[in-house]
Amino acid sequence: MATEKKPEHDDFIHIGPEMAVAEADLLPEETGRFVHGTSLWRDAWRRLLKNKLAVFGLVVVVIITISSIVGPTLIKRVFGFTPDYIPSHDLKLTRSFPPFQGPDGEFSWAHPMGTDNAGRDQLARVLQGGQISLFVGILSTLVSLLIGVSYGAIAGYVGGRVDNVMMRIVDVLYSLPYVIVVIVLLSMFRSQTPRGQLILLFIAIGSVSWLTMARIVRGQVLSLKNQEFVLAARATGVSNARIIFRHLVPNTLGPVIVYATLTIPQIMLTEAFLSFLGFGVQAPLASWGSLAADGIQNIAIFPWQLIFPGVTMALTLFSLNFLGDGLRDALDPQMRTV
Amino acid sequence: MFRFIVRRLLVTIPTILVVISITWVLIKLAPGNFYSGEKPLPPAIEQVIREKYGLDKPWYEQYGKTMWSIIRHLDFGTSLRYQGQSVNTIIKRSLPVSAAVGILAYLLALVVGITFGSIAALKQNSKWDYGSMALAMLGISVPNFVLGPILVLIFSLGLYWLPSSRWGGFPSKNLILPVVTLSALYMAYIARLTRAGMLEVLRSDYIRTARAKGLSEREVVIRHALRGGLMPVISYTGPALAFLLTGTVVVERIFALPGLGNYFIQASLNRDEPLIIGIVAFIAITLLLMNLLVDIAYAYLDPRVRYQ
Amino acid sequence: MTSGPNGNLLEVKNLRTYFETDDGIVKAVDDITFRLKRGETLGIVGESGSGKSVTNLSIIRLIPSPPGKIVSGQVFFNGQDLLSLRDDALRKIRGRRIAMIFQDPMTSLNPFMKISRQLMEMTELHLGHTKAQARAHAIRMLETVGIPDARERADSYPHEFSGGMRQRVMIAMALSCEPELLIADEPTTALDVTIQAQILELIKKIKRETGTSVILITHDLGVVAGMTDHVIVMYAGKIFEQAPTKELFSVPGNPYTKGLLRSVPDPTAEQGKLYQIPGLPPDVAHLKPGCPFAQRCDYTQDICRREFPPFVQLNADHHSLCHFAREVYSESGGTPV
Repeated sequence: MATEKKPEHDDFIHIGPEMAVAEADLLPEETGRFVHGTSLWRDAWRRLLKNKLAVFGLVVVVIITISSIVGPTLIKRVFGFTPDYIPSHDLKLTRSFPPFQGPDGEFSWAHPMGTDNAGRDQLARVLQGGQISLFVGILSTLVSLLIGVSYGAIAGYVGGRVDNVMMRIVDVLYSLPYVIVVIVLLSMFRSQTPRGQLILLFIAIGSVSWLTMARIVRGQVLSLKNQEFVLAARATGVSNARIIFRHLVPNTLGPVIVYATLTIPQIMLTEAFLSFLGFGVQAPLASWGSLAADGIQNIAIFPWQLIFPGVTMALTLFSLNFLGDGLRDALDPQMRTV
Repeated sequence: MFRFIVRRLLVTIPTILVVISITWVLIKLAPGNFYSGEKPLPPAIEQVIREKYGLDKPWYEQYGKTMWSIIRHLDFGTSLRYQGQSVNTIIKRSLPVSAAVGILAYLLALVVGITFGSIAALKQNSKWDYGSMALAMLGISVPNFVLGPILVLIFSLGLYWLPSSRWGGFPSKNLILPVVTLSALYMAYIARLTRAGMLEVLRSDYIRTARAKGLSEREVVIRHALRGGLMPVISYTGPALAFLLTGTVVVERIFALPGLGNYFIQASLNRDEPLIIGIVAFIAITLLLMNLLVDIAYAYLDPRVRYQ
Repeated sequence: MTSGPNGNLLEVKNLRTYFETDDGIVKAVDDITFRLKRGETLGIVGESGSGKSVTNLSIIRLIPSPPGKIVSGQVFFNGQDLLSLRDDALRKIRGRRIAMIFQDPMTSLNPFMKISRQLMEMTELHLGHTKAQARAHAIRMLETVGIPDARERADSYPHEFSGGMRQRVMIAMALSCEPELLIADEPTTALDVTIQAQILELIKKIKRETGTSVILITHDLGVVAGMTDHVIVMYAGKIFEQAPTKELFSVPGNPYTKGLLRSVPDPTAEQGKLYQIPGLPPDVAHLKPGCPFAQRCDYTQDICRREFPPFVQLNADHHSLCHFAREVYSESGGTPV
């Protein structure tokens, strides 16, 4: 059905993506205007923007991302601290200050989030934690995307025995207590360098998160592969690999994007609790999880050590989840299972 | 149905053996060992220790010995760190703690989640709906290692109502905070799943038929809608159990509970090989069995699947 | 059994059912008036979106309430206005005295419940049967509608039946309490042609044997011709024509009806192209002034685009909504009074 838009866009009548009406069917005096079909993406973007919660989520995520990337450098410029800077020259400063307080109890802009027991600035540490969490989250998601999409697409397209075997492997892997094995892995091969720690985390987390993505993509490919455009591509001699990656995969992008956006917070959570338990990132690097672990020690006397990283993390996850929900509603309102 | 179960069990056993083997390999490959402390031990003493624990034998002998005693007697050996205690004893002792917390947490999650999810679905777009879903979103977003300490801050250190840690036997007030902390995430997920499932079912044609038959709204919901609407929750139980395990580990650490999770972390940090393998094996078996049960339950509950 | 004034079983007066959507208010049913005499079969015909299904759902108040709302009107069933009844009183009528069957039997039956249970529910609720009584009754009903081996198959699930069988089960369920009115919403649209005929025969047989009044909704004129006594033609939420069936087919008084009749392929005629009414049904959320059919009508004049057409009485039983009703009627061969 034709939807009328506000006067500025008067030349078009937007008909939804599924409803492309042939011009011949609409009598000219009925419309008096041009009929313009919208692409799936434009439509989805509009729907997303209408969803206030999702927009809120998007804004917060962007703010936190930018702060995490730019923040530590800014703080270094303005105040001179880095996340691991311990003011060891002055014993008065190597203790935990509450937010906005200086060494003698006076108001101070120096530490909006307070300091930890060694005098390190919490804000800088929380921002660094953001860097790490986002870094691990996004990169691991990308890796799991790559593996999962390829695996699932191949399984779905080839079908038959190969598909069966591939999916069986996924099923078995899925039912394993992989986090337990991951913990064993991480506890056995602890690294002293930040780089090593991060790489270990990547391997550990990335090696398990591709499973559901593979399943989703396989499902999509299965339903797409019998459609006409695939037949047409085959008939004109396009190679299988091209078909899979140039034709099928782009059409699965909708659910893939949605799932990816929901995977990022999951991965961030996993990294956080691994670091919390002591298996992920360790001092002097700060991850939200390890900050929380440190913060718990002193929760009775210095509650801000836990609260700030905790709340920041919760806020980020909150926003990512809203964004993910919004994306899912925008791209395909029927996909809603949770 | 019977064949299905047998087939699954047949796949399960090798899977567990594979998991155990992988774990064993990881431990062996790792640098360092369980007996090293701050200073390196004098070589003579080290030699004696290695002989005592069979660590000087070639790797295939060690592997064979370990696997054999597991397969034959389900004997996982003696803990390297906790002198004289067999792994099986430790598991037996710590299991009830973890089980109590875990099961209670999931039951709580089911009760609260299904209730609020159903209410949200039935009163769609009302403040009940928005409120429940907002709370659910919080539940998903606040990590358990943040929620736990905050609850402790409020209820233990602030109000003095509840103890902040330690195990007090079963049942006891010590259970409340860990159980609530653990269950928050699942409560949220289940509420959302229930709401979505119920909304979808309530829109379906057969509910319209039920109403056209003259049934009251209550009868329609309870007799017709709930069955279909709760299916997503049931199939969620499988993955939920896996997550529950990792959640338990964190919660046990926070609240200093002597459960499987806590022992597992300690064992990993201590490189206590038999204990690690024992717990990993136990968890793997439990998970696989539980998944099987869930699949059976699902098949039983959906008649369309049952008669395949 | 009481009757309303004039011996009518059902009288719908000025019914208006609107839906609130993001696009605006959709007037799915806009001022409908019709009657059904006891023992008659009424056909309601129209394209998708004409409001025919909504009309029937409105009768027993099954409209999903947001976004829909029965805005005004009265529905007299045996003299009682159903629209003003309290919920519990209405529920006693639903299923017991007015029963409804739906278009798609696959989705209209509860897939998780045995057929026997779904049937027993009806009589346990309305007739106070015990389990044993309800079960025996259910089996009898299944036999009546022609399910073979009813006793053994009663405990099956819906997915174990074929489409036609499922529709028979729906009919058995609907008739369990011997309702006075059966509303059949496109009962055969989802079925194969041969099964369609069987189901329609079944409905006819039941009518003969129990005297149940029937409202049959369909977009298929062929079905209407063979089954109904009276017909209502709906378009854009309004009744465009209503007449006894024979009269509607032989002397239609409305351009839309004529268009519909022309669109029915006639295997005996020598035709080049199959006729189709040009254009599409209008967007009911944004109706323009004038006649909603004006864009597509062969008889359109200026007045049709400006003014809403009057409801013209062509004879005692025949009404048409058109500025040129009499002309069209005469053209078809009728003599307007």
